Amino acid sequence: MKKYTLFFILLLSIFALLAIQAVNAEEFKLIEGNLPWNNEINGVKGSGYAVYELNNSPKKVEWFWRGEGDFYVYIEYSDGNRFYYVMNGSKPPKVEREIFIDENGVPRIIVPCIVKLEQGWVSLDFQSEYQRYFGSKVVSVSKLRVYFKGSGEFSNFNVEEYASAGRRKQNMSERVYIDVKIPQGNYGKPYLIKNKWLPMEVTVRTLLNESYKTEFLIGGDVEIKENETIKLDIPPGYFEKSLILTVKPKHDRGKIYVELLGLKNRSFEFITVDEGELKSKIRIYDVGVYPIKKNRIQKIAMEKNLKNYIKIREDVFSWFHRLFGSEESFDEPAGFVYCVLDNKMDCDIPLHIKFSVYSEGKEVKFFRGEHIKREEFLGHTPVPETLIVLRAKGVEELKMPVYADVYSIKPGKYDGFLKVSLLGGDTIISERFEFYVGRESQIKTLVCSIAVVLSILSLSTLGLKQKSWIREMRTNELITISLFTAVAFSIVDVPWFVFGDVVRALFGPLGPFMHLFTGIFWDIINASFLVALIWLIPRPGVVIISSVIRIALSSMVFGSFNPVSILLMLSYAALAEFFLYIFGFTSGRKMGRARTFGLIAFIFSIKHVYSTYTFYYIWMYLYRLFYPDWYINLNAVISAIYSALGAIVGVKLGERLRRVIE
Amino acid sequence: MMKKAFVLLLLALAVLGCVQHQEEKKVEQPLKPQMTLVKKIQLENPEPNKIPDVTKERWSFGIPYTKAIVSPDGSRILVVEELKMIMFDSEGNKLWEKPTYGGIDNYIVTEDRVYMTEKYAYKKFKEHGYIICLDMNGDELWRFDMKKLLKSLMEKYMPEDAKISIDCYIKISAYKDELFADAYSTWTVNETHDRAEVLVALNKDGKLLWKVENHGYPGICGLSKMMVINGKLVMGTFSYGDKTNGPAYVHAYGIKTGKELWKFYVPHEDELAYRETTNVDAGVVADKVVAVANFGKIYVLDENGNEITNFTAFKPIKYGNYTICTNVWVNSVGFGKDCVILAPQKSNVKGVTLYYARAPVKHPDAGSIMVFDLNGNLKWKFRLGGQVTNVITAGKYLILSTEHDMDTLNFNYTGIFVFNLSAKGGAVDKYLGFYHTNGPVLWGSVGCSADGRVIAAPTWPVRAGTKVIGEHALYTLRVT
Repeated sequence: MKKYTLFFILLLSIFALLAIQAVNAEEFKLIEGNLPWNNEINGVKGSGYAVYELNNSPKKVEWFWRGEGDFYVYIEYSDGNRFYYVMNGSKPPKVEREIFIDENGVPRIIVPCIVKLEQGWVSLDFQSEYQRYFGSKVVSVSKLRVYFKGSGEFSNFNVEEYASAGRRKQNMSERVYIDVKIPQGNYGKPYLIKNKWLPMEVTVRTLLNESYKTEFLIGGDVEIKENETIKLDIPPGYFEKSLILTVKPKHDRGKIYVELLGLKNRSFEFITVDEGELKSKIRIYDVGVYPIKKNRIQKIAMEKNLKNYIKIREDVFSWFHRLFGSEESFDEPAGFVYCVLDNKMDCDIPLHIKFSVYSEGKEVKFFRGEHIKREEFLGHTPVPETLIVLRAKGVEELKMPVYADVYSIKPGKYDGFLKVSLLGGDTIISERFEFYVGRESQIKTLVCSIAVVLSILSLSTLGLKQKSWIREMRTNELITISLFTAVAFSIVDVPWFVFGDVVRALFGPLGPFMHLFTGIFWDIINASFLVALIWLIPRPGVVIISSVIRIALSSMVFGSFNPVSILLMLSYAALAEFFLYIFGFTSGRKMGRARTFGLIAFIFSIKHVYSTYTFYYIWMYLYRLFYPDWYINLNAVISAIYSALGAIVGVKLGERLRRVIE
Repeated sequence: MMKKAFVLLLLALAVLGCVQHQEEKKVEQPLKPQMTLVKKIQLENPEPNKIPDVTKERWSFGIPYTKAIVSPDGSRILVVEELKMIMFDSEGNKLWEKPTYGGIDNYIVTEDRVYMTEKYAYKKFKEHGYIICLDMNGDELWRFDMKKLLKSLMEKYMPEDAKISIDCYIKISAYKDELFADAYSTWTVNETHDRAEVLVALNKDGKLLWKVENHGYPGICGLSKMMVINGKLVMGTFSYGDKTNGPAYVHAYGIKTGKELWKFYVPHEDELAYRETTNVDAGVVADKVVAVANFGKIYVLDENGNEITNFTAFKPIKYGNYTICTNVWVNSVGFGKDCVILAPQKSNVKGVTLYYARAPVKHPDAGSIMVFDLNGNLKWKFRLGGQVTNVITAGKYLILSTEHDMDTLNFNYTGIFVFNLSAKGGAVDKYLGFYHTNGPVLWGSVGCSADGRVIAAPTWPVRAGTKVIGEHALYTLRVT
């Protein structure tokens, strides 16, 4: 058994050795000279001349060399870069720069690297070598040649690792590059428009060793306005020339021929597009002007839910915004003009899109932002006008900034005009629409400030006066306040808490008219209970005490501690308390019946109009919501009528209850 | 039998051992000038939100990309990242690492010192704006507060309702033992731009030698370099428009006195420009002052500001109804020993200037490198494939770095190009080599030694849509 095992190990070792020799032996072929590759030493030994080429793409290699003469190893990478490893003592080879123009039209110069290596063992990793001299790309070796001239030894050549990357080789033979653009961006399927003269750019780039006199001929299935033959004196080295010609197609499709006589010719296919077809196959949707909003990281975004409404930037209260941490800047756009473009054509269509704003037939150029002077670094002037390439069968969203600052734009209605045209061609689509520019209302800020002041006043008055109010009131009066408040709470607040969502769902479609229903509770019942209470206990503090009880009830029953509601309730109470006192209802002044009805209706109308505006404005201010003015005004009108009605009902109710008590 | 088999096995292994020889250290010696990577150092990966999307407008703004500065003798390389700075020796070995004082803008490394300026504040005020001087071990020698000088000017000229834009941006330039620093703060009042500016000269111990104060545009220095010619410090200015601020100019100060010696106006030329602003980049070529306007007009002056000649380096082209322009800015202008180097940037359509607006045709000079002599002759022109982000002339070399092609988003040509300006012939003959980097090399981030033989180029990863391209790395290259 032992015998067989040992024999097997021995056999395996011999096979391994032979396998290495065999691989190396197959890889090299003799290109020039008469010294054959010696498989036994994996190289060549002796005197003479030979050039060998490796038939593989190695990554890591090693070899041994020594002798007298010229020995070197030449490496060519797939991107064209070259390397000469010259044995110390050898004469460096004469190398030339390789120049060519790559497929992107960029001139390239390959400067070979020449490095001298010591005689003896050499070990190289070609990927590392590439990264050391040429760059960080992963590039494989496309050619390895061994030059042997003289006497000595080049042996033990061994490929330790082969390259895994492909061997696609750069085409380095191009010295002339010709390109045609009608216009730029339309690379896929160039088109011309039927019966239209369009500009066409022809570019030529050359990298020649000597100067060359030639003619530049442009022709094919197009009419050309300018001279079709241009004489060119091309100097040696890098040269480039661009021409802009005006062309018109002769047929439905065809070719444009460009020839640089004696150097190169190229043809470019094009199709002819009918302008009518183009107009029918390019569509525009969702055109509108939308305001901006800032997200948490202060990036500007478009507020899609508000169409055709933008706000003037920077009003006089902008410091108030900054107080809350929002940084305003006048050079930011007030909004975006937005649209979706749909191209049903088979070719890419470069388009010119321009948005203009008109008022009374005249263009208002301030919306373009051209007047805004930017910081030095920011470069571009941001106008709502651009050039885009609409991809074949593609849909593209487009947004461009619209400016409206307080110094140059007045609030009001404007006409927006979005025009989509072909480059150098006619308008293919236009869309006219109205949009509104609003000024961020100062009333809103004012109302919020008043609400805060009134709430503080209300709380302070309660804190200061609560002892005297309670001391002066009889127990039954306090019970009456609690009772009335509890009844109002159970009639208005509890049903709203329970059925609020259902009511909103059922009456929501009515929009602002929903308040015709909800106002019965919030305006009529609330007002009538409060007025009845005043009629029974005509003393200062009743409204504030009732409001505080209501806040307490709401907190205990529903666990609701909404700061907005508390702020609103307290400010309403302070306002009502103030008016009731100065008009004599809680200060004991006597007045006639008609005057009583008139004044109480007026006070509660004012209070409820104020509460409506405050409610919406505080929500808009604190939660950055939006309600149009007409919506709020309509609610305010309903509130005023209902609360006046409720107040009169409250007087009647109060009088009857007083009679019952008496 | 067993013994024989064992001997045979040993023999076989010995033969194999001969084939698999001992690895020896190879000695390489380049036989002609060529560019070699000394070391590639992987730097800390930036957070995903700091990898910009190059398809978006102003994609590089606010990105704290890394900058490299090489000492004049090439023995030290300072790499400044957002939070730290690292000093390497020329072989890429780390010497020291320090925090970056919470952001740094401009830096100069001399033989024995590092000068750096504290980063400006954008849309907010800052209390101090220091120039910091370190020794080669990273220990602070002194600091000088430029904001202190600006503060009194701002109090005097800046209205209370003005909005601050840039507070205390500092630019520095070193000449022999003196350091020149220009600091400014800009603000807006009712859309009008205004600024306070101060130019100072400091000695190598941070002592103030003189100062010049200014209020308003064009001011003392815009985006221009500050260079010295025969005891005169020359620089260019920026104007938002001739009607708004008056024309921009190039002017000179005496380096010993701080006195303005002369001023040469560069009027805006609307037919060449795509917008009404003018930026003048000023430099010194041989014994002449060269002023390059962003729209391609070049003025050659003597050292006293007298015009010798002027020429137009590039012009807009007409494509149907469209006017296609290009421009040059501070990082795309270079001044050689006897030439001026321009790298015109993106094609812009006049009046249609959204970032993503595609020009119907590329401006023929955009994306190329153009070298002019001082008589206005185009000596050579070449196309690099990528957009040029740094133009540096040092020793006999012209060093250019590139980012991707902005029109095609092709990243195959990002890296460092070196031309030998002393070689005879055109671009092909002067071309020394190209080293491709994995990712773009961004504006103002490349440093090189005084002889141009040691180059340090940091790359920064970017996104094209969702695809991340490149890495955050430092490439140290040597021209051998």
